[in-house]
Amino acid sequence: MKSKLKSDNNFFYKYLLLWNRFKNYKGGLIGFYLFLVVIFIALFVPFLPLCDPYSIKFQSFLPPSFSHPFGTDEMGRDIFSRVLWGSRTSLSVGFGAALVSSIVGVLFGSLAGYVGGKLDELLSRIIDIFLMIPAFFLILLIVAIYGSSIYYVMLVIGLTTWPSTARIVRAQILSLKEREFIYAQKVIGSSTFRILFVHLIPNSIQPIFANSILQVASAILLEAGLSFLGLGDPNVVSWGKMIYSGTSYIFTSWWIAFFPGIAIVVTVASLNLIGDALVTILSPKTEERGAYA
Amino acid sequence: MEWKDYLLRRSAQLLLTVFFALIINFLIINLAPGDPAALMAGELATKEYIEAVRERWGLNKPIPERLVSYLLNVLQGNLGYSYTYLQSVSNLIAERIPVTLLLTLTSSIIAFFVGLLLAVKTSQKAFSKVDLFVSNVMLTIYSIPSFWLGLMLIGIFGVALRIFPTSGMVNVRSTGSGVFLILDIAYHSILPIVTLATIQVPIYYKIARNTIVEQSSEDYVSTFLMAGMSTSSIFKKYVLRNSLLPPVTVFALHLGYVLSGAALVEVVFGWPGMGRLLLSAVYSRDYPLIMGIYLVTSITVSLANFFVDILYTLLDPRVRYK
Repeated sequence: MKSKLKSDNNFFYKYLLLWNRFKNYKGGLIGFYLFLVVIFIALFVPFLPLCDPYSIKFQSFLPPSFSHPFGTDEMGRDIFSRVLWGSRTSLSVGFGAALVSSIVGVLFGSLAGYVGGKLDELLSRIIDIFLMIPAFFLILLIVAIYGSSIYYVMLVIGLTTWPSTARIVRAQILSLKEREFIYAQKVIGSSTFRILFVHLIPNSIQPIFANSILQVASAILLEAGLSFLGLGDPNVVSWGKMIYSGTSYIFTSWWIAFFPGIAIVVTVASLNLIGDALVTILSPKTEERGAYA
Repeated sequence: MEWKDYLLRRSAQLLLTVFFALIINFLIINLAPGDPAALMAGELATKEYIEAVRERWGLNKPIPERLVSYLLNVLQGNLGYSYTYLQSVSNLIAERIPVTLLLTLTSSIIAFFVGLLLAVKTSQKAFSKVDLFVSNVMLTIYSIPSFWLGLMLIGIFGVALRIFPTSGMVNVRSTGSGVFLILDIAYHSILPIVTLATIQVPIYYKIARNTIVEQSSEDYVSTFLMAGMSTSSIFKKYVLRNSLLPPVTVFALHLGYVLSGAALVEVVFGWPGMGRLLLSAVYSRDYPLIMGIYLVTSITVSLANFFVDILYTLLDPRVRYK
């Protein structure tokens, strides 16, 4: 019991350290604040004083003005409101996909790394093969045939992007499992399950964390691409779909496609900036050199 | 001897990957809801045609036999028949490949050199203000959806400034031939190439910069410095040379995506390449065509990976002994 408490403290202490170093990265910090704004919008958009994103009561093709900051679209809907509502779709697909991908990746990676031997060989081959398959086409193919509800899109993106997580986890576990505290656990007779889920995986979570943030970013771009091709969930407001409908009106009403695109760039860039800073901090080479600090 | 072993193992892996892509393709169509023969034959097919398709692809047999007849068909280069284009899938794909290559190859080469040049310029003062600024700008560019960037370029240069055409590969009104046709295609390809090059620059920049920074902190650099060599000549003679392999690798790996990477941009610019072909196939639920494109793409990617690995062992002997 006592030892668990200590390792928990350690866990939080590690994150405090991480934040202290993260603060020195200007790009990462800007990304972090931008991302807080995006999250805030996504969480509280129902309570904001906005027009109904589905209501078609306004005149079509109104250029940006005071009452419609981003203008109105071809059906007379307020684009500002739609862009803010779209954050929910993008973030849920992004986080959902990254979650699926992390879970599958952690399971595969830790099994391969911990058990080792023939199983490792087999799982590593599977990971290699999955890494070589062009994910976008596979996702496109599956969504085209099986349908495109938002949960489906999440699941499919997650299930095609897990190998990179698995690789990182495997490498982490391989180096951690030789450490004394794991030997100690083995000596006192802890089960494999316990060693894996209580000791090994929580201790290798930081690099996975950085990678998952980058995966959220790429999942958001993938969803936008799918929706742009008309393969997103037809029942939700999506930035990619808005850009698609703006394509036909680029000659007259640039704002229909412009603003949702800016929203994508801001959201994805904020995640990429955070992720990149974390990757730099967590790579052992930078630690030695003490770069940025 | 070791190299032969490696080659053999790597070839086996290549075959395995291609086989895996085939299996995925097979499973997707066979596990899809509904009758696979009806899916393959298309919505407008007659009963007789559906039966013919069922016979040809062995869809009336149990799954293992089906898989065998599918593999046999593909091995013979028969990827099926597109009912929307009324042509064989392999012909359709072969026609579109050069059209797509024009965009993807050109833009990859441009992005490679621009990214490398930027990295050389900024990485010599690693972690300086300029370096960090360029890194963050690159991350932001990396976050732009390609199709949106293309659309915005159309809006600016095609619609507002009227400098470039907004869509297509040739001017449909002119009937130029020879040199004029080539010039016309080049003119139409500028905006899509700029779009594709822009979104790829960060990839090359990042890998080149990180490698140069890493190489600059190697022991041999300090040794040469102590021996009295100037920083610039160390950089030119050793650091840059040692940093070229990773960006070249990324370039080669990217060649695997030359067929599929431009799909979204092709759609925006109305470029009649593989991407547009795939999309029209998806819209009209032309399953044989979709599967054929997917298969050809995955095989290209696996092949590119294979050749990169082999090339790597030739260029860098250390890799072999891993």
